[in-house]
Amino acid sequence: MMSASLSIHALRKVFAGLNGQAPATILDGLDLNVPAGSFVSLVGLNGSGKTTLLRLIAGLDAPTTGEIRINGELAGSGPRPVGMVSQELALLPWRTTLGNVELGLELQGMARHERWERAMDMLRLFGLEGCASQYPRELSGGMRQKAAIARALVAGPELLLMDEPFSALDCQIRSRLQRFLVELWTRRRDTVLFVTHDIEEAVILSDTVVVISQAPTRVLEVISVDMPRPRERTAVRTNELRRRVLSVLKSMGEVRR
Amino acid sequence: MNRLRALCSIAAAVCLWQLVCVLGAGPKAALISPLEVGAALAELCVNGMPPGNLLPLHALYSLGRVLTGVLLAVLLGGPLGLALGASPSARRALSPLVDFLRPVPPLAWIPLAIVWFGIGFGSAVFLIFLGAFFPIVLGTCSGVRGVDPLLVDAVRTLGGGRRDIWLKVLLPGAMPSVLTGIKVGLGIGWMTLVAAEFTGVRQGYGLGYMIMSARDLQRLDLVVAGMVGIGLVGLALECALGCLYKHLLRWQ
Repeated sequence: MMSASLSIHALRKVFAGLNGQAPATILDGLDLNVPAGSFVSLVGLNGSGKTTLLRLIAGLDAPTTGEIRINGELAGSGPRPVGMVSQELALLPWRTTLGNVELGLELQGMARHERWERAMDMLRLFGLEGCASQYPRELSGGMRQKAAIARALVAGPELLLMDEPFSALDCQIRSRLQRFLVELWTRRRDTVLFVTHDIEEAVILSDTVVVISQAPTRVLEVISVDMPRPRERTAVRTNELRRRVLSVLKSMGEVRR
Repeated sequence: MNRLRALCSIAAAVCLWQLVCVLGAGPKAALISPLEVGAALAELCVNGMPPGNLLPLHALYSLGRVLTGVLLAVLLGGPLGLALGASPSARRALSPLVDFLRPVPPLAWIPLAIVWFGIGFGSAVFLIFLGAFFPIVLGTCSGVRGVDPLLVDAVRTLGGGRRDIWLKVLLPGAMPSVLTGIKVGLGIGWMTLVAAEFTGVRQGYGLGYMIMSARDLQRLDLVVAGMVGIGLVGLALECALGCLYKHLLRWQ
């Protein structure tokens, strides 16, 4: 497990307009620093180019200009070994939980027996060993997202990119998974870039909350969260930080009343 | 329970059929009762038609033609469907051609088929192939197009290349539609069978051929028995495919 640092400098992404529409600038000179082993959240409202940014970091799309460095090295083109967990379900429906978690190891060419062991270890860590042979449709929403995180982590990614992974879950399951993620991260110290529009979630989870504007996206403010984990949702400091994030969004006209 | 219900509905249909024949007002020769069909089936199994050519062999020959035609349609139509599904430029280039050929009934090809493949196996298989080809192309194409791009991205971020994307995402993801296409293609293949065998068969075997010979002898009971034979083989095939699909698509 090698957690890497991520630094982004002057990143710009312009999508060509289709059918005579004007080109759309989604990211306009974005800078971002994610130190190795830290948990950074990006908070912004819908339409703030968060998903585009994650796709650029994962190498699924190429930036128009600007640089992405992983561990200080300029990232080349093409997909990179990152773990990606998205809002919608990206588990392969025709594979069992175990089959999905094994996928990354299989793609690396690991021998069958070894990858089975590694995947089972990961499932045990996630408390999913009981549903190793079940298909995604047989799992609850929370279990599916857990399986998706397990799949992203098993191959030992440099970075874990999470795109609103819990936003489709209902409230109780969401907070349970948030707690689980905090425990997991405290143990493993993966480098995590976590995108959300839920301010409370960002404050509860991260070392640093980066508030971003709507597209064309730039960084509005970087707020470090100086609270020990696990954090109380109702603590005074939590509320102060929530208010602060909200006021940044409001002052930029990002939240209209 | 379901099986019982299905049997009941079949039995009811047969009873109703018999009743219509007994009470029927129409000319006697135009109504073939289930009992007559049963007798005809027995005759076909014992004596055969033409004499010596027994019903199971007719069915077997037809089955062979249908399966060969459909298999060829899968082998050629599958890859074409995959290409159409995966590549917008292939779609732009080939869709008009496919849409142009698709509405042409396989039967319209009979004269050409006979010129190209002669009388016999080749022509029959070609016609069945034509019937099955387009449903398989379209099923495969829509299956590939229907695969969630997020799944492709997921495999790419985990280090998968083009080959992995095909083998681990697009093919399994397209499988339900491909299988439906094959099922529909098989059905149309059977429907083309009688006409396909009407082009002539050398060995003197085939359910369609048998029906046509029975027609020439004005043996309507044997015609209906042949229809029942086609229905039964189709039903058996459907059941077998159903089991196979259930296994292949157990994740759904």
